[in-house]
Amino acid sequence: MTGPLLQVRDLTLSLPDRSRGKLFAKPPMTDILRGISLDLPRGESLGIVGESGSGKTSLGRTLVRLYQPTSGQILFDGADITTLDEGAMRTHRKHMQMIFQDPQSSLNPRRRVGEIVAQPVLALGVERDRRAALKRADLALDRAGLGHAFARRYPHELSGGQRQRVGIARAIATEPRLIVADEIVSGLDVSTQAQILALLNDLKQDMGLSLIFISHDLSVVRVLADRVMVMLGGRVVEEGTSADVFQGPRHAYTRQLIDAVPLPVIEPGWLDTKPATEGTRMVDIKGQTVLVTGTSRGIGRVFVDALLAAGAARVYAATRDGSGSHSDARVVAVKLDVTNSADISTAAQTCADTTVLINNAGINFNSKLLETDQVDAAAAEITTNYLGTLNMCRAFAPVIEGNGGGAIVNMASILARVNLPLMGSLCASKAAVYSMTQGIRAELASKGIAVFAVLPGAVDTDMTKDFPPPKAAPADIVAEVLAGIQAGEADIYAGDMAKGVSGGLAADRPAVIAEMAGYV
Amino acid sequence: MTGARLNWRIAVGGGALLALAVIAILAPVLAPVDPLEQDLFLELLPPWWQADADPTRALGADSLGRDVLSRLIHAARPALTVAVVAGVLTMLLGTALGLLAGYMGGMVDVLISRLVDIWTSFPPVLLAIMLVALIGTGLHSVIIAIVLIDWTRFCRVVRSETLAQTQMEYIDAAVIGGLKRGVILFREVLPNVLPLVIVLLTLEMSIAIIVEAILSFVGLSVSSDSPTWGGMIAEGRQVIHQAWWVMAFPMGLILIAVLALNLLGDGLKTALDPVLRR
Amino acid sequence: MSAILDIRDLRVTLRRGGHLVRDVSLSVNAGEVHGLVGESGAGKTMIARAVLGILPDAVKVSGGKIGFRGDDLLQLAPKRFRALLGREIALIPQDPLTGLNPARRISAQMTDMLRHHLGQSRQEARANALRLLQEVQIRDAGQVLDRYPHELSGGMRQRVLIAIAFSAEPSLIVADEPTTALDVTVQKQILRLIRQMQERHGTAVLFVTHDLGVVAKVCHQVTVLHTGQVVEQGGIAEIMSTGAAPFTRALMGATPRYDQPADALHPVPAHIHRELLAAARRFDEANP
Repeated sequence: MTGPLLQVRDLTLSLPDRSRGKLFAKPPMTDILRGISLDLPRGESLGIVGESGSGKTSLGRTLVRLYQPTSGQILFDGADITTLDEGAMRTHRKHMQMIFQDPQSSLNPRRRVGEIVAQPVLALGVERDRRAALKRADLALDRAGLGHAFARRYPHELSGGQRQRVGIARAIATEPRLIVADEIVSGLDVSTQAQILALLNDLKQDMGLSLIFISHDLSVVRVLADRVMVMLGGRVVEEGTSADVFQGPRHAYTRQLIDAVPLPVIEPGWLDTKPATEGTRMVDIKGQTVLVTGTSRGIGRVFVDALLAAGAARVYAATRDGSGSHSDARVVAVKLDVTNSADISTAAQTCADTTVLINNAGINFNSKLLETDQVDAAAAEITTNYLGTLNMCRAFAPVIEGNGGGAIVNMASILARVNLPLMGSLCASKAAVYSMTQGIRAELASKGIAVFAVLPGAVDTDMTKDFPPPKAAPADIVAEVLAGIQAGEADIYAGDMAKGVSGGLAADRPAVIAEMAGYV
Repeated sequence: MTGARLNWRIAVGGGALLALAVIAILAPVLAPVDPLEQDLFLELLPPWWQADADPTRALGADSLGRDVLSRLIHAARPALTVAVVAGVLTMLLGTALGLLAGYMGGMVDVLISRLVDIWTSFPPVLLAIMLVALIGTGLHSVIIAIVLIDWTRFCRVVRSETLAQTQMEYIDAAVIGGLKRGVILFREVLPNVLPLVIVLLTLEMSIAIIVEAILSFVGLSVSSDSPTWGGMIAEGRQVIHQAWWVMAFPMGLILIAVLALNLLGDGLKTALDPVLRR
Repeated sequence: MSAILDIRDLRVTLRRGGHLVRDVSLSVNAGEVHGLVGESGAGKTMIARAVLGILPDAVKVSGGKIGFRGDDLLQLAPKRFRALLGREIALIPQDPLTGLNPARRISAQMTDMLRHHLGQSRQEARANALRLLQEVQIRDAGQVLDRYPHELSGGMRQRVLIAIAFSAEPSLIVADEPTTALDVTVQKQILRLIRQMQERHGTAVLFVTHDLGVVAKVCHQVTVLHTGQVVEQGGIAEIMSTGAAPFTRALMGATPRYDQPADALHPVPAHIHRELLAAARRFDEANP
């Protein structure tokens, strides 16, 4: 037979989340896998890497139908096994076996090693006769490098490495075509681990096995995998040959993973490279498609050039009237008024390849809050600064998610943390943006979208001409923002003044506010 | 070190029980006199080491002049019958339901678990007395009462242990290995739950002995003329100030039987665990 | 530089016979991270536990001394030893979940140490706990103080444990595989944090790990162990060099690397294990 041994299309898995369940109500469902597709050619091995919660283990278990997928399709050897019941699955099980993570719990403590290995041989009808099955078990134990003398032993009499060899013997005893191996060396010592990896490599070659090798450890995956799939939040963020992925990762998350692996070489300064704040991922601008709002003037205009310089693949430069042209062909002008919901939904379609959204558009009336005719100005500030940003996030989060993840950057202001007289309503709108950004960060993290809040101090633009110095140059602010995004700082305090403020806020908030008030 | 200790427990506990069983079976042969024979001249006769003792009544006589030793020996019969029959039946009922709840999960689990909750909210002794009053006195009633009350103990423990076992990866391995659900339950899960069940059984047997004693104490067990340990305690209670031995000997025997069972259970717990056994 | 921890010929033995640590000597200076590397059964955890005085019941120290700032910990009266623990010698445990009491708020667990060991008032202790959490780069430290351990991520919990370990400004910290339970990206953050804190406070750290990669990134000095014997001891540069002992080099060759293809991986040759086992046997024959 030709064609891939295993074909998976749009596999999703939702499981009830019992930790959040109420007493009598059905527990809410959590999406574990969100649209996984893969092809596994015969005799090839696929490594699946990811951190805890990435869904890699659930994927392995769904592929061998320990879990019933919620939707999608699994073709094994051309046969659709997605919805087969246990009885019908049995005819396929002899060709697809699994090696488990914990050799302690995956071997029944009350059975002898020989019986454990012979069990699938008998139950799957490879041999009808018990004695012949035990004979086959002996052969499998020999092949797993354990020796058939171990058949009489009990699992607790073996070391961790020996137990894992029993697990391997059980998996190969039925001469399968596919083996799914889930974290099978994570509990083993380095020298044992190397032996197990070497054994699996030999078996793969001798038996023409296809292998799905799941691990959190990139280095271990490299040993066995021809191709690698990187998972995050139930999705595949990157897939390719292992040499390509490990030597030239395309996705920022893959790069972050690789960068975090401590290799046994001395590398001064390794610990201090790319300080990623917990909870927020670093996002590399290079190769991204970026949508920036409010690019007609001020910071927005500077952003466009800085993004091009940082290697963005395309920049959607949004302005309220859609005007403006740029000498670089990568810049596309977009008409987008963030207070207009029709504009937003159109943009979400025309800019459907967006991976990074920078919500920069904002207005500023310097209004006196207590004068009655100024309520309209306050409402406008909330509508543009807060609701505009929120609506953009709502519209583009699914777009970015659909493109494999990316980032949303919300430009707030240091005024979100410090309140100044005469600027109450502007402060309120910026504080609203900042709070909302904090709120959606956790929600979007699981969807592969990093969310950044930018809190610049006063910027020297025509919008802030009334504001006293010190004011930072827009180019400096933008450079700091991009650096912050690439370093994964969740809250980016850009501009000298803001840096001082953020430091001061942590130490002595009243003093900072008093000092700021002195400016007005 | 471990080996010696567990052997000691099983030897002492099991030995004591075996002795009790032999005594119960051979009661007619071993008892020096008829346990029902009354001799008012021997009323409240003290045991052999005291003054005024009668060598034919080694452990003295009760208020009706019946031989305490012979009555003790004969009373071992109902006690052990109840312990074994009630213990085993309770185990079978509770384990079956516990396995089912733990392995099937879902609605089955919810139903059985709620039933257990409701069941255990009644005070057990009161329930036993009510039940026996309802179905009449006699040994079979005592056994039915114990089974109907105590199955929940097995059910609870077996359910949670089964649940723990189903989390183990060897269950997944069995599915991958092509075993059917029922086969997995009986061939993979049950052997791992069984040691716990056996330990529980020894505990249950000791509880059955105590419950039988309580029921015969309040006169709800076998007919009042045939001897039981609980009945003897009840009779002895009335003459405790003149003749302590009438009450003390049956109490001592109950204590020994319960201790022996607990000791045996403790020993078995380690002996049956393949990891601790080493 | 003065040695904070000076272990001389430490021997740890099973009560029913058999050595687990065979005359190991090592010293850790102030401001230095000393890696204790080996596979399971190498004795690294036993050495760490001996320093902390928490050896399992089945095991005893049967020889040598554990010098700590001039005192021999093994000769110290239990009361004085307890006074040292937590205050002068602290632990960063392996499992961030079991390292914290699940039933108590972070604030309670952090202020315990400050109040009992340093005699601070409730307010002082809380203020200091807040400062410590900020120092280990926990955002919203005030809120975290009022949380329970299960409400924090693994990385956050490990940060809290690091804060607790450093709270009494100890001169020695024993870190027992502090990142084994963490995801790789979080591991890097925690390793960085341990190094930053240790440098800032000039603390000596005994760092137990099985991971040569982690050793290469955080340790100044290294002791490589096998069957309770020192295979090799020296600066990180020597250990990582090609001139290292055969076992160390073999271990390095058996460690998979994402930047190298599969054929670069070589299991530890059996004869190296055999020779080290034989050496252990010779030791046991000479020291029954």
